[in-house]
Amino acid sequence: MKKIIALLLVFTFGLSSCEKDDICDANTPTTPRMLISFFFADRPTVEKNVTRLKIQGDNVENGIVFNETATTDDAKYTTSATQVLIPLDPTRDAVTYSFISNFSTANPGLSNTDMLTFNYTRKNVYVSRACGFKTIYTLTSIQRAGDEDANNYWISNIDLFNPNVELENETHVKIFF
Amino acid sequence: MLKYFSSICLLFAVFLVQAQEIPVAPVTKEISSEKPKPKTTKVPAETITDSIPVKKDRYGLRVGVDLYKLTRGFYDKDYKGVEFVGDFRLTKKYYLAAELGFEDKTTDDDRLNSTATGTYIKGGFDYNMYNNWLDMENIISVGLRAGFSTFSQQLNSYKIYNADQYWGEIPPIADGTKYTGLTAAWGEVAIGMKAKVFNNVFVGFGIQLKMLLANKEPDNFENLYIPGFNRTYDGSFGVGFNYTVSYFIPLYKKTVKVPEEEKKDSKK
Repeated sequence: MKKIIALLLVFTFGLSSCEKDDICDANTPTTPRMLISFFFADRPTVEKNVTRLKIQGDNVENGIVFNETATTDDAKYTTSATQVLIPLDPTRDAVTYSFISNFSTANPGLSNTDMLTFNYTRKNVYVSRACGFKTIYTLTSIQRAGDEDANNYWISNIDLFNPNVELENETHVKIFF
Repeated sequence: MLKYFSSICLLFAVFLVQAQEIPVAPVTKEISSEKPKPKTTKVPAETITDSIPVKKDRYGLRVGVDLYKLTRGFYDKDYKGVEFVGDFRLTKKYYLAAELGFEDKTTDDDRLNSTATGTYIKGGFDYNMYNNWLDMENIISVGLRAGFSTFSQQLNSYKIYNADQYWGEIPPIADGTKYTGLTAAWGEVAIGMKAKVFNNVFVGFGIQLKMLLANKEPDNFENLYIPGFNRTYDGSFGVGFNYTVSYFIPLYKKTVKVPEEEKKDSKK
């Protein structure tokens, strides 16, 4: 009889330690974004800060938001970091982005736009009851798009460093300029 | 029942001899002179010849059905299920118990819709903690079970969790993949009560706390519902509930042991 009561207690404590699994925890790795790191073209191991880079998807109204709280468009859609996280489209096998360097609404003549198309394959992977599935990608190729003159490219080289886009903590693509 | 009649008579004959061996003759007279208990009229003819009103426990098989599962199908379109329950009295306090069931349940979560279908069997014992007065046969029990289920799971549709919706929202994806040959095993602690409502009919309910021991999961999916175990959680715990109506088939009787009879006498 005492054993049974002891067992019951163990069960009760076990139940109370149950985690809430109805809400998808923000720390759970779900559909990853692609991490692009920027490097000096002449010193490929040294990270380089981009200058007011705006990244805009093909046929998307706005650029990727880098600064949620910014009030001006210039500050909101541009970044000057050494890395950017950009999303791939889980419903298609390719996305095209315009990489606009030196972006400024006041002085559009200064900016330089390079268009890149990222081709990839997709796989839907089960995560959990609360999170459902996630899409992971394998990058197959990156090519230049658009009809810009090659002499005007600001990106000098692109390296598909790690084609498996599964997590966001590792560089997938290196861009040299 | 007729089949067992002769053997039951034989059994009673044995008890008869034992009963007469007990030297409680003076007490007997006292009882019979006071008030003949109505119970004596119920016991078979052989014992009437014996003037000692012996308390006897009935032993047998109790079979029933879980009304909760059965009726849930009427109001819950996502559920169909049935569970048969049975127990067999081994000793005064211990019962062998088993449940056998079938379930078909569609689970609709925010991001997943899946259907689990399968059968399960549970076996174990119940310990009756309730001290029945006279010829009552109520049960308040604690028991242990081992459960096993074999089932299939169909992923009907799912959503992709994409925190960054720059490329727009993704509509739910219809899938329809069926994962078959899944199995699970678990242990459970069952707490329950059964009350005799009339004749041999019992009504009871119980709750079960379950712990998943083995779980064969499908590739790229998870067992969200296991027939018999119910909904799964992040850990290995589960809960269950049943509401049963059962019928007791008496097979034989056993005399209650002497020390208890003395206790009963001293109370008078």
